[in-house]
Amino acid sequence: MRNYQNKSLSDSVGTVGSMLLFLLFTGCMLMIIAVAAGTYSRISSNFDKTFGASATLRYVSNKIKSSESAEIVEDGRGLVLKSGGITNIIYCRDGALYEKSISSEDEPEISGGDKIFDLKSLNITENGSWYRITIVLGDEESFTLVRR
Amino acid sequence: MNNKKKVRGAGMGVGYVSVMIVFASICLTIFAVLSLRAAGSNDAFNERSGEFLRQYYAADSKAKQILAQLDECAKTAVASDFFEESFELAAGEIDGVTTSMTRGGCKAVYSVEINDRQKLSVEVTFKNNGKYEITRWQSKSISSNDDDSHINVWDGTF
Amino acid sequence: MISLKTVNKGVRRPINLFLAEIIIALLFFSISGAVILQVFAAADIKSRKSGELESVILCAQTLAEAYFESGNIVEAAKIVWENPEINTTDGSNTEIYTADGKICLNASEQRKKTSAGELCELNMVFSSDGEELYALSCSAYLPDGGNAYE
Repeated sequence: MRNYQNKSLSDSVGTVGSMLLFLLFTGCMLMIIAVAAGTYSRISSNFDKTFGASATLRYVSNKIKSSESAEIVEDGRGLVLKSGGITNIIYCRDGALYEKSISSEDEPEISGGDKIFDLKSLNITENGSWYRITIVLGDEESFTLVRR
Repeated sequence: MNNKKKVRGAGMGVGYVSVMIVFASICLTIFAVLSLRAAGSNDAFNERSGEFLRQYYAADSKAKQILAQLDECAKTAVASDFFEESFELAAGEIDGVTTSMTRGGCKAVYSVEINDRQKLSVEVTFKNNGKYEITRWQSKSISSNDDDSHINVWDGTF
Repeated sequence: MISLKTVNKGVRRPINLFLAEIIIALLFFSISGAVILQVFAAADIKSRKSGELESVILCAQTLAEAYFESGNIVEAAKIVWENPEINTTDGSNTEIYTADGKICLNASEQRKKTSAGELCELNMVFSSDGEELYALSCSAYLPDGGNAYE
């Protein structure tokens, strides 16, 4: 009878011990998975951020380089680019960069168009013989110069 | 009967840990591969944009060399009595440059290939006094001005 | 007696098996974890380098545009960076460090005099911790006496 009691106690300890060990193991695994997910999310957001900033700057600067004439509108928040009978209007509004193309004969209107990139703000200024394009994406500000 | 119940209830069953390990390994592998792919595509994007920038500024440098040559032609032409004629004659010897007379000077047009899809198109107006004005320094798509880019379709004749 | 033995065996076997399974699982995980960790480390290094390269390419573009106007790398660098550390080793080679010292720009200039002006060629090599990140060549044409009026 006594032997049975001892056995029962050791069974209970063994069960609780192995369960605790399993729980610890599960916790560690979940923690490792969470760390891996965090690392992936950091790398991915870094990609989105750098891609967004440089792609926007390069897009606007290439548009200026390939246009015949460029005019700053909306206090630097937009550009009207004319090239080969087509007017391109690029502007930033409501946290996004929009672009629309119209015929050069039509009056350019800063509204509508297609959303290209998410962007906090766009500022284009004439600086000597360059356009200085400054964008804010997230908390970071980036700029580049483009010849007029 | 009681003993049988005890056997089932005692300790952790076999296999749970293996399932957990396999699940964790699969999750980690997926995250690692996705991270590597994200970093790889970022790298590839940078490589491409860096390469395009190199190509653009190589074409830009070449265009400036031609501009320097044209400016030399203009300086020589200013010294002669007939600016337009002597400028056109001298500029015509530079590869790829076409000139035309304008009111009070000459216009030189040339283009430099950036890559197989784009070119840098330049137009410079030289005044009689030898000064110049860059009227166009524009990157253009090659295909848009290529006359051979249309699709050949049957015109109905045999 | 027979049933007790069975019970004894039945009780001990799962615990032993569980421990053995944990040990084997940990062994397997330590091997696969080492491989996965290396992949993560490679991705992280690649991502950091990409970020650096990204900002360097933008700097190179801005410098090239600024150089077009002045034909002077020092002036161009002052437009791009705040308080850069500039060391001109000789007339044609310039070493420029960003204020945080992370990025070093080695710029070498070649100036060719023509009868009408000066053609300046600039080779830029950006490096970080002694490792080359990006190289770009650009040029500027400066007409004598400001020949160009635009």
